[in-house]
Amino acid sequence: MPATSGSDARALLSLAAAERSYPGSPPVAALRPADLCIGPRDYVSLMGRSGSGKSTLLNIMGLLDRPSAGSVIFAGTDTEQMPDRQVAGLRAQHIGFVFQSFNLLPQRTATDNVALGLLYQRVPRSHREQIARGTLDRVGLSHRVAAFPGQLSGGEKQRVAIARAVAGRPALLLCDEPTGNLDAASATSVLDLLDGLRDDGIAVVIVTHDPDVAARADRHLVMSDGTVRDTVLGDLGDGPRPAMEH
Amino acid sequence: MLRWRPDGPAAGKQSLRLADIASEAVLGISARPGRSMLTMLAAIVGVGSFAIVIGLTNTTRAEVNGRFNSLAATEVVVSDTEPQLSSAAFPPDTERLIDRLHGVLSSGVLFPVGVAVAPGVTRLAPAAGQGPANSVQVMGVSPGVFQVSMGKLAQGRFFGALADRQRQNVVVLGEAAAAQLGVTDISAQPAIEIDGIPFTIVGILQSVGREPSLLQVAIIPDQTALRYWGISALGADAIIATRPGSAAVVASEAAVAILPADPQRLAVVSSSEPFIFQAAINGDLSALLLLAGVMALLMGMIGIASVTLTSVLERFYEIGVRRALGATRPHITCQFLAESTILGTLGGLAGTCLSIIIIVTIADINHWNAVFSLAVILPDPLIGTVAGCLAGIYPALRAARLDPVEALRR
Repeated sequence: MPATSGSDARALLSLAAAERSYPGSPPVAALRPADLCIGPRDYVSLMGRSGSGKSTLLNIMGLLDRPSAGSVIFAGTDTEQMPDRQVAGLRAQHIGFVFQSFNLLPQRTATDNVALGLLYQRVPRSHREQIARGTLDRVGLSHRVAAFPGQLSGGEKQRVAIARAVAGRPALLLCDEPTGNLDAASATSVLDLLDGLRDDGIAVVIVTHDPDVAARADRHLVMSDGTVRDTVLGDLGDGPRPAMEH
Repeated sequence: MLRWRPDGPAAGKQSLRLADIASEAVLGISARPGRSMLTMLAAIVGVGSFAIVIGLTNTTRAEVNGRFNSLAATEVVVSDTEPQLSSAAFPPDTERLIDRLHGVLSSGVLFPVGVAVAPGVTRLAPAAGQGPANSVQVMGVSPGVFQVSMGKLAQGRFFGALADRQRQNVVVLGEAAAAQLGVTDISAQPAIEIDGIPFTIVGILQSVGREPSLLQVAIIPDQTALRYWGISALGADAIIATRPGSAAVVASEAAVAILPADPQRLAVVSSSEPFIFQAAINGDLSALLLLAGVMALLMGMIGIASVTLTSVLERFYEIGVRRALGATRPHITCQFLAESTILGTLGGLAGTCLSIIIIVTIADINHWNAVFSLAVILPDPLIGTVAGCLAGIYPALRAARLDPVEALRR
């Protein structure tokens, strides 16, 4: 498999020589040219020190940001020339985000927060609430459907955030340190929840600093100074290898 | 479970339903009641000020027009342009000559008499200009003047054609003149002297519809005045009350009817001239007030835009979350535009109601009739809608232009 080719017919998401730099003197290379494939049902951890470029890579994988060079291919379609409207449509239909700080809207109930994830899929309003309640039930929060974020614990908030991300049944779930603000017990329950999503056919990418969290994944990516490479746990010091397999 | 098509993902139709846009906007508004109230307040002030200015313009215009219409539209004044001539411009039968014209209701001649009057019955007042500081002027009038001026008596009676013809020494005092002379009761038929000539007070004039100067003077029959003091060097006027719509015709015929030998000596002013003046005043006033109203509306719009922009800055992370969830830039634009439009509409409604209350109150205080035109009132809430929408454009575009990564980082 050529290291520079990010294209794979079976891939859900491919990065082909994708790089991201920010203007400055000298320019900051947040992501050096990377080739990467994420397949359906992949469970991938992404580790690296702060400032290594994890969030940049996650944003590019989630089509929130565009690479300065190279391309991002989602389900076989190059997104480089896609207008913003179409890229937003891909995010709405196929990609879910879970943030470290939950990012729930404080003035809305758990149900409304989850339903918001379905709004941009144009799910009719009556169905949105029904699906939201069902998803909250699946993440174990059927008793908290009317609660506001301020009334929820950290673990519960993150479950609501996960419910919001998966309510529309995305193909790819991107989690940016989902357990970073949680205690051990809450973190375990959230990770158990993420483990279970694999069975639903969702590819999961988790950004984490915690090797225990990373250990749950099937595949491990490490970022260092903007360079991403596949690795095996306990072998973080290995030289870079193309991150193409899935 | 993957949901994309094997031949590539399809974004599909992405525009939101109107109901979804509206419900999201309402949720956004209700989530920040304080901020929403501020935005609405800006709309209330803007639309309210606009509606008040327009409403008060209509009310005052109606009031002014009412006064113009009821009197000026039915009034013609004929003036002697050459009072220095020894011959009288208005013959003794002027009233009869004028009253023959079609459309005339009544007419009368009046002129200032060159004497002064002082309180008391024996004192002889010298000619005008030499009297005491509080001297009362004397006006010679034909009996028709009382009818033309729509005079109302506080006491006594007016003098009639007989007294005028017989050149009787009778006088009607205007209310202010009576007060100045200390005359409060005429039941005992008190008298005053004018230039040493005794005159019996037959009435006290309480009010007039035209010629308010009559309330300040002592009014004597014009023929009596001519008998004692001759033709007034100050000139004379004939006032004519006409039927509505007849003023212009009467004005065109009056000079010839009164003085057929020398009609150019008489200057005729009809109500059409005040109307031209009135229209000019109305036009200028309307333009100025409309400008003030538009300025108030603009200030309100700036207020809405300012508060909405602040709201955008406070909601960066919400914008980021929405973008991450798949909102397009137009979705974000719609969200903020809908919020400012709804708040503008609500503010417009409240501002309109408030303006009605204020206009009615002001009209009541001034004893005016509040005038509301549906054509003006009904669009006011809509003006709030448009103002809210226009004011929300910049903040909404600013929100939509926000980079999602940047928004999530804040």
